[in-house]
Formats: sequence, C-alpha cells, structure tokens
Amino acid sequence: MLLCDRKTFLAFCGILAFLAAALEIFIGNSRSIPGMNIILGAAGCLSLVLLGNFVLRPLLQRAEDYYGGGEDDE
Amino acid sequence: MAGVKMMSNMHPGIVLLAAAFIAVLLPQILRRAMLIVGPLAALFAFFQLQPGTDMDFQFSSSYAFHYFHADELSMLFAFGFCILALISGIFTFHNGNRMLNMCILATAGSALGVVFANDWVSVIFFWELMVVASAFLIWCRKTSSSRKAGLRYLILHMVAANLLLEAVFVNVHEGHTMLGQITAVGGELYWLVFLFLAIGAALFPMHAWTADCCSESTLTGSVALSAYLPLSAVYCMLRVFQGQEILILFGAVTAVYAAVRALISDDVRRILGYALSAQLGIIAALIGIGGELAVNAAAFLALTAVFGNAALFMSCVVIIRALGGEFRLSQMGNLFKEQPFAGVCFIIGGLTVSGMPFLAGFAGHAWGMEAISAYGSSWLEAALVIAQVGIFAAVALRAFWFMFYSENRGAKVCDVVPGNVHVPMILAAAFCIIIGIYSGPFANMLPYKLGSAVYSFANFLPAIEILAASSVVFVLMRRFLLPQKGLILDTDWFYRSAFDILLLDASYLFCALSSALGSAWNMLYIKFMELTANPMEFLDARPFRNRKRYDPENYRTSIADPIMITLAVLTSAICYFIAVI
Repeated sequence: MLLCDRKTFLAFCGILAFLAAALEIFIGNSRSIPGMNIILGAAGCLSLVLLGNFVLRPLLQRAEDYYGGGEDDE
Repeated sequence: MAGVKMMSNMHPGIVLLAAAFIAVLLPQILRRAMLIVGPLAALFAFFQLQPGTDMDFQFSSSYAFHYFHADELSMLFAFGFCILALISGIFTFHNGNRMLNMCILATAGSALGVVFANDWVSVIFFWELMVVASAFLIWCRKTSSSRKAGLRYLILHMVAANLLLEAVFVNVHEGHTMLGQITAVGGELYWLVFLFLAIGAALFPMHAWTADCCSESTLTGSVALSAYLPLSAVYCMLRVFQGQEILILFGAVTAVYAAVRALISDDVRRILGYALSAQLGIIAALIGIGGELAVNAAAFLALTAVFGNAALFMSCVVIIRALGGEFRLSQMGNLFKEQPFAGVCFIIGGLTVSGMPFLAGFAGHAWGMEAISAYGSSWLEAALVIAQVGIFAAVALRAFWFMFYSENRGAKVCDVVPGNVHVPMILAAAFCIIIGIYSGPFANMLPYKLGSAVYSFANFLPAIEILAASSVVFVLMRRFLLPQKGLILDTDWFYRSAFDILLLDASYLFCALSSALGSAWNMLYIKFMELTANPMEFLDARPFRNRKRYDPENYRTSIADPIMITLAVLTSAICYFIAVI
C-alpha cells in the first residue's frame, strides 16, 4: 500500500503535521493548542482500532451461523 | 393553472401512498413505471408547496387531525425523502415483485406523512403505517433469517409505537394535541417520548436494529430502510426533544460504540448499518445541545445522510449483486477494475458521511463542531471527533480498501447488474457533490437563518487535519483491521438469544405444568366416574378390608323407606284437607 518505506512515510507525515500546526499559529486556530486536531484524529483512530480489535472482537466474536442459518425459501 | 393550484394543496405523502395502492392493481410493466411516476408526482406536489400550508381533517366536534403542516423543518426533510423516493424507485425498477414495489412507495409516503403531521395522532398513524410497510421490505427477501429479522424489526418498532401511543394519551389527557417541544423534564411523557425516540433513532443500547435489518432485508429495500424510519425519528426529535441533555450522553455513546462496531464487522451492509447508527448518534447529540447552530447542523447532517447513505447502500448492493450474493468483506477485493462506477459512488458516499470538505456532509460537521465548542464540553467534542474518525476509517478507508483495492480473497463477479441501478447512483452522488459545493441554497432551507460561512479556514483546516491523521493511522494499523469471518455479538443478543431462551424455557415450563394439570384432572375425572358409577360400592367401602367380598344384601334397597315416605305424604295431605274444611 505504501509507495515508500515506513520511515520515509512517517517523516513525510510528520513534516505535513508540523506545517499544518504552523499554519494554525500564523493564520488562526479554532483550538487553544496548535495541532490538537491532528493529535485527536490520530489518537481517536488508534483508540478505535485497539478497542475494536483487542477488546470487542475477543469478547464478542462468534461463528457466522451463531443465530442459525438463513436458507432461501425459493 | 387550475391543476397547479390544486397540486399546491396536495400532500406529497398521500400522493405516494395513492401511488402505492394503485401500483398493487397494475400489471408488472405499469407497476414498475409507477415506481418512478409516483415519486415524480410527489416531487411536483412538493415544489408547489408554500411554507405555512396548514390543512386539517375534522374528525369529531372536539378533535381535528392536523395531517398537513409545512414549515422550514418539515420541508427540508420532505425534500430529502421525495428525492430518496425517486432514487429508490429507479433503483428498484428492475424488480417486479408486487409487494416490494408497493412497500417501497408506501414507506416513502408514510415517512412524508410523519414529516408533515402536526398533531400526535397523525404522527402515530403514519408512523405505524411506515413500520408495517418497511417490515415487508425485509420479508420480501423470503429467507428464514429475513423472516425472523422482519419479525424482530416489527416487534421492536411496535413496542416503540405503543410507547408513543401512551405518550399521545398522556398528551391528549393534558390537553396538548399538537406537536411541540417537551418542557417538563423527568415526567411520564418525557420518558415515554425519549424511549420511543431512542428506539426509532437507534440510540445505544437499542441501536442494533439498523445493522440487523439492513443486512437481512432485500437488497433494494436496504436503501429505503437505511433512511426513512431513523430519519423520521430524528425529525420527531427535532420537533419535540430539542435541548434535552439526555440526548447528548446517549448520542455520544451511540456514535463512538457504533463507529467501533463498523470498524470490525465483516458483513458490508452491517458496516454501513453501524456507520448510519454512528451518524444518528452524532445528530442526536447535536439535538441534545440545542440552540440555532446545533439544530441547523443536526438538520443538515440528516439531509446529507439521506444522500450519502443512499450512495453507499446502492454501491454496496451493486457489488453484492455482482458477486452473486457474497456480502462478506473478508471474501472481496480488487473489484474496482470490474465495478469502477460502484467504487466511485461508494467513496463519494463514504467521504460525504465522514464530513470531507467539498462534499455534502462537511457543512453539517463544521457547524456541529462550532456548536459543540460553544457548548464548552471537551469530552463531547472529543467523542464526536472520534465518532467521525470511526465512520471515515470504517467506510471510506477500510470497507473501500478491502472491497475495491486489496487482494481478492475468493469472490468473483458472476452476475450482471441491471442498467437502471446506475441512474440513482449518479443522482445520489451528484447530490453529495452539489450540496457540498453549492451548500447555500440548501442551507437556506434550514429552520434558522445563520450568517456563518461554511468554507472558512477555521472549519476547513480541522476537518482536513482530522481525516488526514486518521488516514495515516489506518495505513499503519491496517493489519489489525483485516476482515475476519464471523459474527460479532451486539446488544440485540438479549432479545435474539437470551430472551429467546427465556421464552422457550418458560414455554416448556408452562407446557409441562399444563400437561401435569391435564393428567391430574384426567385422573380425578376417571376416579370420580368410577366412584359415581355405583355409589353404594363407595358407601359400602370399609377401611382395612383385605378382600373384596360381594354381598347382594348390601346393594338391596330397604322396603321400609318408600313406605315411610308414602305414609308421611298421605298424613300431611289428610291434615291439610281437614284444616281447609
């Protein structure tokens, strides 16, 4: 999926995040901390992935036919 | 001109209901044409409407049904529903199933009935009609699982409708027959209406029905099921429950929880069902905040959810149809080459519901964030951003990537998709783009007039930052999000499994009790009959008798008894005769 190696990709993303935060400082910012939206977006996605994959899935995953199958009548 | 004037008073919902009942009587080709003609007539009636139109039907000297009231809010929802009726009508055009055709039109008509109703009784009438008509959209699939799912859907929403009915009784008893904001917090009416709205708008823990019915319904019916009922509940919420803080908590929990569920599900229609539930959670939280900006944001998000979800569900249905019924994400992959049109519409719909700039959902999300900032709750702001990120990651990133680009894991295109399905997909995607770019005319339809610009730097940059940051995390974490075969249990387990077991065991217990009572009664009856067959035998019974001894003298009636009776009667008669003389 990545067009470059992981380190280059992360460095590129870091530079973009820094530029976005700098842009917020110079032009105006809806939040008190510059770059807060980036942190919130990344941390939100990470927490959802971890919560879904390591908490909900092991607890609640069952076989596909847990409630019984649904054969066609016709 | 006379015709146009007549149409200016025509209820678009009643036009669609009439089309539904006419469609039943028509042969297949005309019935299919009615799927397009009916919504077009409803749209024509809608465009003739003037805000402020108010019509009623005098039922008795003391009660009138205010079934047709058009204001800004009702016209905004009616616009979305009329366009969706046309979209779903064209999408279903290839399907000649009489019941499905009728129910698609009837569901749209009754949803419009709810939207234009201005008194409680009219709301419940159209609501129940919508529930019944939409249940048939599930049953028309004709599988054992869809039959059960339809029954679950019907029972759940009939319970909700009965809660509303009791609320109607409470309201009418207190002298309030018209819809209006509920001001008394914590009373009977408050809780009844809240429970009704929580079920209808799929709030946690009653949210599971969206994913359940969308995954079990007919493929074409899922487009209608994803919009009419939940968004009618949102409309009712806006009408009667604005600014109630309980909605903030339930909305935020629903949004985050449904977003997580969407992120780990395997069935693509369940993913979209959970994403819809997360959107409804965000909308409910905004309604709970109240105020002009939040209400406008919620109403606009509801309008854009109609088009975004329609584009998503239709693309998804096209893929499932092309794959011969395969609905598991874990079996799909690399489908963009074979279904590029569905791929483009899917990503437009996915980005719309995620609040991507230049698409329809952006304005609603931007205004919503402004309203939450003004409300001043950091946890709520974080929760709704996480929910938005979850919808984006689940639909526009995970589902899109594993359906259209990742390595194919078994599913092959084996069926031809009817040509008519592309027209409504273009329509829905076009509305997503048009509303995103030219949001002004649509923003003018909102209940409150606001001077807030949509594409300001303060709105644009945060949205891009949030979505870009979550994309990066998705790229890095995607191995944890690989679709896996299986079902992930939800709160519906309580009524699908636990309640089912309870009901079954209770039935067994009652059957056993009935059987035991029946046996006991039967034994008593037999013994009674045995004993009464010869009472003398019973009277002659001796305790501790070792052997039965037959003695005919015991069963012979004494001659003295009848002689004594005869003498007594004769003596009485003589005495009476002497006394009379």
